This record gives sequence, structure tokens and C-alpha cells, in this order.
Amino acid sequence: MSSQGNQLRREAHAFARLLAGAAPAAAVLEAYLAAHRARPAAFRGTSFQRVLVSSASRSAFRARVADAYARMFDPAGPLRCKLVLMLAILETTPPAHRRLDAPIGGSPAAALLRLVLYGLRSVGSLILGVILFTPRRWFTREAD
Amino acid sequence: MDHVVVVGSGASGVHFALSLLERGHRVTMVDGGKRGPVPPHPDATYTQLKERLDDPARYLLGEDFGGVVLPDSGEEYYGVPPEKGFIFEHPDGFAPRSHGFSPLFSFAQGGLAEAWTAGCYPLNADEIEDFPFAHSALQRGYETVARRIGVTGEDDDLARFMPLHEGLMAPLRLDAHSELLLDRYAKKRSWLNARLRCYLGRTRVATLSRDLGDRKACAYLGRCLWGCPIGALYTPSATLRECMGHPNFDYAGGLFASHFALGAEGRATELVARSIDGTEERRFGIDVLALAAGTLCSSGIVLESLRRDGAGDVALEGLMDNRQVLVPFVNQRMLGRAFEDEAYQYHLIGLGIEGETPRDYVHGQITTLKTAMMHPVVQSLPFDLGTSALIGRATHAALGVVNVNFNDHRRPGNSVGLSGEDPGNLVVRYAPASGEGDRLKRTLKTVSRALRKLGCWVPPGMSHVRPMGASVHYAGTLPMCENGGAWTTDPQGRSRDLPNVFLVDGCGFPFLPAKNITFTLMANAVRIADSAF
Repeated sequence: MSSQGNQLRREAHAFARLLAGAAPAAAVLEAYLAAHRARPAAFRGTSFQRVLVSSASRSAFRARVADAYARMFDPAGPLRCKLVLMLAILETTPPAHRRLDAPIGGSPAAALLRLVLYGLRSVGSLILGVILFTPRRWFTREAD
Repeated sequence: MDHVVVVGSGASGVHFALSLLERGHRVTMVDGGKRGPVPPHPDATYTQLKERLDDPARYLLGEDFGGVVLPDSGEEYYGVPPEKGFIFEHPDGFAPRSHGFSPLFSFAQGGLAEAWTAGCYPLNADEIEDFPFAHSALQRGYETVARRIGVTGEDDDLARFMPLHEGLMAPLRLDAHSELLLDRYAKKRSWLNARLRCYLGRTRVATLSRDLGDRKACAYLGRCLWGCPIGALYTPSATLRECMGHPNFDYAGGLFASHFALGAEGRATELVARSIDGTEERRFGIDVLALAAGTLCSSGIVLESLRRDGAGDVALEGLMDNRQVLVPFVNQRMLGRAFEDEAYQYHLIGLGIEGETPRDYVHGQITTLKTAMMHPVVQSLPFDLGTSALIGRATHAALGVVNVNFNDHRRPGNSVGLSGEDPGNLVVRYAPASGEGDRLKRTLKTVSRALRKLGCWVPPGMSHVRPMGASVHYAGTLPMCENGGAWTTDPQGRSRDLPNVFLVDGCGFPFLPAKNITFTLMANAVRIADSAF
């Protein structure tokens, strides 16, 4: 197995856990690899963007932190594209689609409270992302 | 008995042809003729489809994953699914240019309306004031078309903007979200009518609520966007199939009509078409020619014919299209609920706003989100995608979008011409009317106020002004008028410059109201066939 194939598998695992709370099914993994073969240009990036992807591929938690940073400071970069691709595959493929199609139930008030909590968690991830990645971005820029 | 060569199998072409056949004439239809795949598992809902297909990701996202809407790709919340990609495929060498306009073309059987959302909105007497015939003539066309295709609707508050006609079927079953909005409207109706001049009601759609011929009533599979697998949602290819069963009908598919040769007194003598793959040329002798290839392609055929006849640079002015703005909203009362899998996917209710004059009416189609891909929507939230996906799950059933349509007028400078550098290829130019920004802002404020009154939250900064050309309601380049000059048609759609050429599509519209014009295109084509032949 090539190192690029291993890297894509690591990404797929971390991203699927972040987005659907479970490891990817074989069909998801296969589709994720196939999409990279079909649209390679969408997933190429600069050295800093590769740092973001590499960091995100280590765990779902790191993926959240790196993506919170990417959403603000690199919104069309490869990390974002890879995550959106994974979400598209998960929402069309069983069994992950069942989880993504299921509502987060409760009364409208409870749902609203959940939304606020999710938002706060994401803000926390963003703050952590800024602390972790801003110096690396400067450093990588210098190195480039 | 006339022999009429019809170019194009879109909404206008097929109804014009069918009316001619019913009147005993002979028809040869020249058409691009591309066809899509047969939808799999016709009894499965959208969710069941994901379970039953061997490779659902490839079906729903495309072989090359081109259906994935990546960040900053410029695509919209609702992309055309890969399954319908054939509708927009061009022949080799067909490369129109455009300025201020994003034109769409189709060389598919049924044309661009194969991808429509089935809205059928008859025009009222004010809206056809510039048209050179009485409203009753169009009304008969509406009734004929409604009988043929099946239109569902109701006599409610929107009927003040859309005349009722014979042949309306009972409306489709409402989804819970649409029902909630209509209930809320019933409670706030007086305020909305008086303060905002805003009205809500059922949309009219060409989707069957009972069986019609070999088409089945809507089974609420939630698959409209991917192509109705049981034909409940009408597309013009259904009427094309009907024409094909007629002994006086010849179909010449796989062809791109390029131009016609001109003879004495400007009469068209021969239609020249080449195969879509560019390998062969075919010629059709003409008694009568009817152009129904869509406003842009019909204009292109006329222009190319003139160029080959040595007419020099001619541009057809007055191109129109509806500006559309998408206004997303969240209905707080639907938060936390499950979205409905077994529901009609497209719009079931609509919103009408009275303008300063009846012609300034603004129409909005309200689509509540049921089955849909969420990745194009949630990626625009300002959070990491894990959080955005969770928010998507909590809000899916509460989401909706109003597609707000604005009218358009013919203006000089908005034109279809031919490229000087690249003969044979179209150049489309368009600039919005002055003051459009203020008009949009004013109207969107009213739409947002109405939505808030209906218990919805309108996220700031998320309204999306679609580019001109996106609505695909093109019209106006060879307008019908009672006493016009060059490059106009008479009330029967006959060109004043080319006496045996009829323009039976949107080319002939002298005004474009804020409504989907497809139903009127069909009704007008029927009117022309009935009055001129």
C-alpha cells in the first residue's frame, strides 16, 4: 500500500468519526479514494495546507480543531474540500446516511439549546486552532 | 394539410407539434435528441434508494464525483444531479459566449424543461397587456395544456394573481412544514395582506395527484430532483412520446439545426442540420418552419441563416430573463423534528407580493427541505464541518427556501448576436435594469418580514442572488406585436421578415412576468397552432 494510500485512509477514518461518529464502511473508504483519483486538483495544496490536512487526519478531535481554523482562514482549501467530500459520501452511503438523516430530537427549545452548545464548542475549537496553527502558518510561509 | 418542420422538442415544440397533429397536419421534428438513463428502483423512496443501490454514492454523486459541491465551486444549494447531466450536454464546437449572463442550453429530448420544478402559473390579463391577443385566446391554451399534462392546484389566495382554468386536479398532499406555514398564514393573513400586500397559497404544479394516461399519480418518493421515476412530474418528453405514436409524425433526433437557406421573398427553403457528433449533415425541405429550440437557439438559427445570406452583423435585441433570489429560512417550530422521507420534494406552496402595478407582481416558490443532500447547505455555516453537520441534523426539517422571481422588460443592449471572430457561435449580452439593486433590497425586506411573521428566522447574509440566465426563462428577441417592424412576429408568431417561419417559443414574448413561463410557453404554442394552421 502506498504512503499516499495510507494517508488517505487515515484521513477517511478521522473525518468519518468527526462527521458520523463511526469508522467508515468499506464502501465509504473506496469512494473516498476513488474521488481523490477522479478530482485530484481539488485536494492539492500548499505546504501549510498539507500541514492542516496531516494534523486533521490524526483524530476526530484534531480534525475538528483544524477545520474550525480552516473554515475561517482557508475556507476553500484542501482540508475543507476533503471534509465536504467525506460528508457527501457519508450522506449517500449506508449505514452512515441513517445517522446523518436522523434528527437530533427533542422540543424546539431543547434543539435550540443544543445548537447554542454546538456553536460554543466550535468557537472553542476555533480558538485552539488559532493558537496552534497561526504560528505554524507564519513559520511555513517563511520556510516557503 | 400542411407539412411543418419543427425545430426542438422542448415545452413549446412538443405542444405545438401535438396540436398540429391533432388538426391533421404532418410534422417533422428536428431535435438534439439526447436521452437520460432510466431511473432505478422506481418504487423506492430516496432513502430506500440509498439502501437498494449497489453503489449509491456513484449514482447520487456521479461516476467522477462531479455531484459533490465543493467549497467556492460557485454552485448553488441545489445542483443538477449527475443523473440529469445529459440535459445540458452540448454538441462539439458549440461554444456560446456571454457577457452578464450565464446561459443554459439543452440538446436533450424535452429540452431544458426536463429539469424544471413543474411550476404552472397562468398569466393574467394585466401581464399579457403587451401581447397582441386577448387573454381568452391564451386561456384556451392553458386549458388544453392542463388537460394534457395534469396540473394540480387550488382556488385560494394566490388565485388573485393566477387565473383559474379548467382541468385543475386536486392539490398534492402537503408536507408537515408546508402545512405549518399555511396554518400560520391563516392566523396572520389580515396583517400580511394589509401591511405587506403578501399572500400565500398552494402552488400550481404539473405533478399528478391522480393517474393520467400511462403516468402515475405522485407516490411521494422524494426523488423529484433526480428525475421522477413514475412520470408523475410532467416533462415534455412525455408529450414527445405521444407525438411519436402519431402516424403523421417524423422524428429526426441526434441533430443540431444550424440554419435555413433563404429563397425568394425571404422564404425559408431548406433546414440544414448536422449530427451532434459533427460527422454528417442533413437537409430538410421546408413548406413551413417552426422554431421552438428555445429563445437563444431559435435566435441563433435565424441569425446564422441571415449571416449566410449576407445580411452582415445583426443582433436581436430585447432578451429577457427572470432575476431570481434564493432566501433561506428556518422555521423554529420545526426544529428537532425528523424530515419527511415520503413527501413531494419540490415546492407545494407559494408567496405572492403585489407590486405598485399588477405587472410588478413578485412571485416566490416556497420549498421546504425534505429529502436533499445536506453537504451543499451545511458547509456554508460558520463552524467546523462536524458541528455544521450536527446543526444540519437538528435543523433539516426546519429549513426552507423561497425562490423569489422578478419580472423583466425588453431593453436595448440585451441581445443575442453572433461572434465576429467565431462565426456560427452565439454571443449573449445582458445588463440588469437600472435600480435593480434597490428593487431587490426592498422586496427581500418584505419577504423577510413575511417569513418572520410566519414564525421563521431568516439568517442574515445568506440570501443568494442567482446570476442572470439561471432561471432559464429566456424570452423577447423576436417579439409578437400587432403592427411591428423588422424582427418582430405577428400575433400568430409568424416572422414579418421570413414569411414561412414561425417563432413558437419564448422569442415572441414582449414582456416577462415574475412567473415561471413554461406553462405559458406551452399554452402559447397551442394557441399559435390552433390559430395559424
